[in-house]
Amino acid sequence: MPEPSPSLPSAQPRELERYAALLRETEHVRGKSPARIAWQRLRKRWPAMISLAFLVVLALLAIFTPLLPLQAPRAVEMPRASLPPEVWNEAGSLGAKSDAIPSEIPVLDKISVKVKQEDDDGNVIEVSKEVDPPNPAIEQLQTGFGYDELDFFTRWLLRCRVHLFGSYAWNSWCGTDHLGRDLMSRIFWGARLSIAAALVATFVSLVVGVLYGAVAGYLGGRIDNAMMRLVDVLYAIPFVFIVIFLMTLLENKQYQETLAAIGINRMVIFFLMIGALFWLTMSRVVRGQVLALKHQQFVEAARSLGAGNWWIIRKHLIPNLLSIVIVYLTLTIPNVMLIEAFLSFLGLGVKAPDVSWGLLANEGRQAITPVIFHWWQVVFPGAAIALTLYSLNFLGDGLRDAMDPRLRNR
Amino acid sequence: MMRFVVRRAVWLVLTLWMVFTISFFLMRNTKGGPFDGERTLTPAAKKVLEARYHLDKSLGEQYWLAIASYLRGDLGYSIKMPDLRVSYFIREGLPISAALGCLSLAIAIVVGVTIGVIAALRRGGIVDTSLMALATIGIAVPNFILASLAVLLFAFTLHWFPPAGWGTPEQLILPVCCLAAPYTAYIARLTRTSMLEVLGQDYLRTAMAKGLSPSRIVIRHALRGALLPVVTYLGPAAAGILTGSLVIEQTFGIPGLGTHFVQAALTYDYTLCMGLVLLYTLILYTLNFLVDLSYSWLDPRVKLE
Repeated sequence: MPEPSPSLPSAQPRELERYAALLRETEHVRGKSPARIAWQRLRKRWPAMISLAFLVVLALLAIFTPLLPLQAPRAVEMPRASLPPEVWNEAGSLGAKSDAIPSEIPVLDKISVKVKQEDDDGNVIEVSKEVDPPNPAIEQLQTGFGYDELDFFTRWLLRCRVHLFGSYAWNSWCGTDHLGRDLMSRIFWGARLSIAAALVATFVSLVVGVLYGAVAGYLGGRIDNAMMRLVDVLYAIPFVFIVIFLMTLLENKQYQETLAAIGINRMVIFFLMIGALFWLTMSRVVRGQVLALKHQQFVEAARSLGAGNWWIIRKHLIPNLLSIVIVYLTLTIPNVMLIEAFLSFLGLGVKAPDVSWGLLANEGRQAITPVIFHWWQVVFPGAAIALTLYSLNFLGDGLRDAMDPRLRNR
Repeated sequence: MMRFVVRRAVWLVLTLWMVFTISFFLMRNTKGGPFDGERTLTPAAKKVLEARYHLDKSLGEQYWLAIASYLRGDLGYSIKMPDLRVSYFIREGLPISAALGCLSLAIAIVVGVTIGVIAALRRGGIVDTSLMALATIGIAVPNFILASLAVLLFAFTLHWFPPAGWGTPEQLILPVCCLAAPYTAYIARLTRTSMLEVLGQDYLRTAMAKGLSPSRIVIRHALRGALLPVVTYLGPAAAGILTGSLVIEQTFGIPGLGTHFVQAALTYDYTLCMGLVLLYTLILYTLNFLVDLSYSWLDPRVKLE
């Protein structure tokens, strides 16, 4: 009986060497993830990259607005009302010391006061009501410096700013408004609210749209048919008008009190309503994608290899959905910002003393009449809105092209 | 076909009913009714008012009475201007808003398609690039900002057009242009894309080989195929122009439906507001319906469901 051949490798040393060489070669080859490919393609599109850079800078500036040596956004100064942009003149300064800005807003106990109220029969009676007492710390912020009641992070940034710059503040480079408030500061503080509104409302539409679309696509059949028919019907409804109408209805004191009791204020309703406007497109897109993915071979291959539902969802469905969802998010955000600005412009959205870009544009519009001609009050807020929307649109278009698999090898 | 029409009609009625019911019950609980004025009312006056608004009846009865009157086409009285019916505001405002909207839509289509075709024919050239850059600006700049800037520039700096008002052709130009601008831009981009797609098709090469004149090829052969996406976009465009007319009318002081609606919302005039919301729903629904019909007419391959 012949001896069994020794181990395989020694029989074919050449083969082995070849495999080893191949192995060494592949060590340097890295597969590119879809995200990496998309990023590389996006980097080649300079309009999208400029937009991205602009948006990143804008977001950072909005977050760190309290740190900048801006004048206070609400410091009313009638002698300085409606001044044109000034570069060289000495502007109003903050006039604050860092320890003057309260580091902590104490929570005071509620006090009960007597309020006159009408009962059901129309008689005036006195009722005792629990209200918040005047809070000196908040009052100092509001009347002393011209800021709103600030959260901890913002207050901390503000204290840092006073440490760094003292009472120095930039001049009114964008002019002042009709109450003498610095327009540039108001644009910066307005950016915080406009961006926050856009993000929150987009998030609402994201959650609703993705859930609805994913469920419809995953279940398929008759349920999918019914759910999508509903979306078709909703498309034909002028939601903006209904939102405006519902906002005016919910503005009623009675509803406000009920809603405030469960911790929902006007702005939250506003965000939710705008979010509710935009889930339709998202749900359609997600549903289409889920439907297409469900029968893909790689999903079936994974299933035949014994992968569970959760594994398939996590490893195959979500990554493939992600790109399309991201693209639609970047295209939804400008729409949401537009609607917020639109409603605030009409006086139906954000209300003073809050500041948003739409509100500023509205104030600016009222500053243009045959008698007064304060162009800067329109031009600067308008430019802020237009530039942001422009960049978001460009970035969305660029992302869509970068993530489109049909264009991958071009 | 018949089934399609009937189904759409049923959905329309259901939608209107939903909007009506939700707002009816939200409205009943609001206090800002006709009795919330500064003057206190005498009991007799109060009774008359209550009878007029059917507030002396039970909630269910009120609901049925309201539905019945809406079905008869009677939208009731305004709360804040109790002498005027809601239908009065519609009669006053609708022709103005309709004129403004139709004109804007027509301009958006004509100008947009023309720009798109020119850009597609001059593909890659300086004309194409600059037109498309302009279109992107048109899409990104919201029309209320555009309107404010237009007033600033053309009315107060150059004195070419009056800044506000309604009635003369000069007063029409600025609002119509501002309202049409974003949709013109979008239609131009759509037309360019689909035109480029169509221009590469074989049947156009055949037409060219037959020796047809270039203008005939573009207008008769290419444009018809390229217009389909534009027609699809008309539904959203109509909705956008309807919405946009709110700010444009407000900015230019045009006494149309949009101005009435915003004023009603700002002064909490619920009945007027609701009447106008229902009207807007009806208009938009009808427009979408017509767009779907025309789509299947333009492209016989599309089946109505």
